[in-house]
Amino acid sequence: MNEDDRSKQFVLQFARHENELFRYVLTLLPSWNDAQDVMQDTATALWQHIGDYDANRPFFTWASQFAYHQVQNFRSRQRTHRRLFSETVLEALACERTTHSDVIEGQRVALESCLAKLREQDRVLLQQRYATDSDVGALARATGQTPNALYKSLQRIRRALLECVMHKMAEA
Amino acid sequence: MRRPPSLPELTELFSALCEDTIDDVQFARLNARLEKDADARAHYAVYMDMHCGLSRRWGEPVSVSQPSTVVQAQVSRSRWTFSIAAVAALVVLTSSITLFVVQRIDGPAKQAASPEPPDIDPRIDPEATTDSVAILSSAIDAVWADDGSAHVAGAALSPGAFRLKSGVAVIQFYSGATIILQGPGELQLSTSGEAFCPSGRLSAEVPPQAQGFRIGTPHVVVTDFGTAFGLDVATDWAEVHVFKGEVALTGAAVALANLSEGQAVLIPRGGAASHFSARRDAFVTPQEVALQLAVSVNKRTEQWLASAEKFNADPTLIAHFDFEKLVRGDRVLKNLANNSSGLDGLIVGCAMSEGRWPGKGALEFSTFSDRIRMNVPGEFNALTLSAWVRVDRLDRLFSSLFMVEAFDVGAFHWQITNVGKVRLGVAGPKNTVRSENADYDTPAFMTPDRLGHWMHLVVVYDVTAGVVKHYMDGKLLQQLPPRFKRPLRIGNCEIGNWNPGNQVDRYPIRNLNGRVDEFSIHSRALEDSEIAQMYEQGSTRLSALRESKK
Repeated sequence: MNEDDRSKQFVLQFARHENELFRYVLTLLPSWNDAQDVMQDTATALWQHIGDYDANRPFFTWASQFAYHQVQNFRSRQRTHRRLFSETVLEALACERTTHSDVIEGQRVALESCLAKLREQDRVLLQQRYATDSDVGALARATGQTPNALYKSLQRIRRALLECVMHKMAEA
Repeated sequence: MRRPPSLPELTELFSALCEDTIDDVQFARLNARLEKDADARAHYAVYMDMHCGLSRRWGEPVSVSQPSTVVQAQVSRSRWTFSIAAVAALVVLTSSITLFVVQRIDGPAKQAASPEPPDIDPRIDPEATTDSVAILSSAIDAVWADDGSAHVAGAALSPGAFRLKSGVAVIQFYSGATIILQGPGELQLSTSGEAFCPSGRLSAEVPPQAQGFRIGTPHVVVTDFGTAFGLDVATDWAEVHVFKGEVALTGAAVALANLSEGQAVLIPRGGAASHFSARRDAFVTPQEVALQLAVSVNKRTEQWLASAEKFNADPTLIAHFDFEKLVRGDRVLKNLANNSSGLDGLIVGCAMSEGRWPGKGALEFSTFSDRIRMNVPGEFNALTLSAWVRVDRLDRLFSSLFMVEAFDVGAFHWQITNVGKVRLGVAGPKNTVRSENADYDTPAFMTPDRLGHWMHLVVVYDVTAGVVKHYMDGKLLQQLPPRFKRPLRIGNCEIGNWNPGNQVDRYPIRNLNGRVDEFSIHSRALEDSEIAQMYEQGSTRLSALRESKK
């Protein structure tokens, strides 16, 4: 494979697995902004090591090792340990992370059907929350609710969704 | 039994995490839950996936079609387009640079120095398997015909041939049958209940649990009914002696009756069998094995003690602990290095235990409190660390052999990763962006079959010579160039554990799960030959010592 093909292949593979990789990182580093930074570092590291990538092996398996390493790097750079999981939790989460694409796809399908079961106003609220970068305070002002009430609603809706998704996954 | 996770409480924490309203107390609680509860982790993973999925779903421009949405979604695109755009830019940029370099130097372009490749496999391995059928219980003066370096006492044995040139080997099959093989002789292990002996002399103890144990020979097959018997096999004949119980003889050229206690039979190739009385004294007995083992241990201990005097006199020896003469409740581990005083180890936790050979003292590390603390002042351009260690489990991301407190510049961590690599991690210079650390790893050699067995590990760090070396059982495993041209420092440090210093309340658990029965630090890089000698002098194998003297 020449350099050009390799680059194309890489961009293609990365695009295909970006979501999966970001989920992986966010699970280990549960702050959206931090996870984004680590994704950036991971992308750079992957690109620098693209020569090592064996096209016969699953891209995600390969890439997630770099992501894990970048999460570790990020953690070691932190001055405080605020909102960083312990090493034990990190390790366990990474170990137990499913890499099975069938499971991930099943989860996506389950989420869709569970969303369909939500009450209309709940779905709209979720959509407002996720379709915007503004914080819950701004959303509360826009919808005329108190932020606290909004948090509670989001918490309740997501819990119902989680229960529904877990249930569907167990059935499958 | 596992407690089912309390979903309302968990999802409250998850939700606070996603909305970034979680406080430190809540986060600590979440961490604690995730730490001990696999179900909680499973829920957490699905929840975060859902969180991403929802963001992905509505953060995409596709879904902005609903005009009822209060806030428009155009800003949110940036969330999902950041990295792919960056990578695309990188690809373009780096490709052109690479091309340029290729043209200039007319050779393969190397990638620029980059972050260390990952070497901790974050995924669970498939369940470990083994094909082993027996264990080498003990080996007395055993010299193996082929490369028998793996045949140390306690080693698991897989099916295959074991050729003993001289000495005695005791092999216990997983079925419970024990064979004492005398050299010269060969035994081919087939299953946990069957073996083949082409030639040699052996005795077998077959307890009732192992009834039906069979040994084949070129002339006859002996099936045991829960007894003790002896077997002497040569090219042209086989002799079977029954000491206790009864055995069946099959597969011979001539029909043979069962053989009872006190009877023996000589079966020549193609000839008629002749019966005579069994001779117990023609075979090594378990009692003789026990006696020889005791003698061998004594010799071993004497040799080791004799070598210690010279070892302790080395002026570059900073610390040497032999873990001998410890009494329950002792808190001080005496430093035996002649040249340094006041560098005793302080024992925290650690149960007293048995070392490499019967009667040898050791300390066991099993809880995350167990540690031996030291303080070694100064900076070092070269260091050699040596440990006799029995690793029992690798159930931490990092299992400590010897770790300097915290991880500030010049500090180092000698450890084993959860995939079985020995790693020397060195903390490099720090700047505001990132800390420069270096990991020097061996290949992953600490496989399940090595757990529970004593081994000698050494790491050498030498800035002046520009080399980092790992050794196992006296042999060089890995050699790497150091990344930093700066000395190492020790200060507060721990054998078998780690502590983060004073900055944090919660910290990773990195204790060793296993035993240590000798440990030393030199302030210089020991030579290959010196390390090989350390191994030979401390090895449980006397024969190894003899061979090396030839």
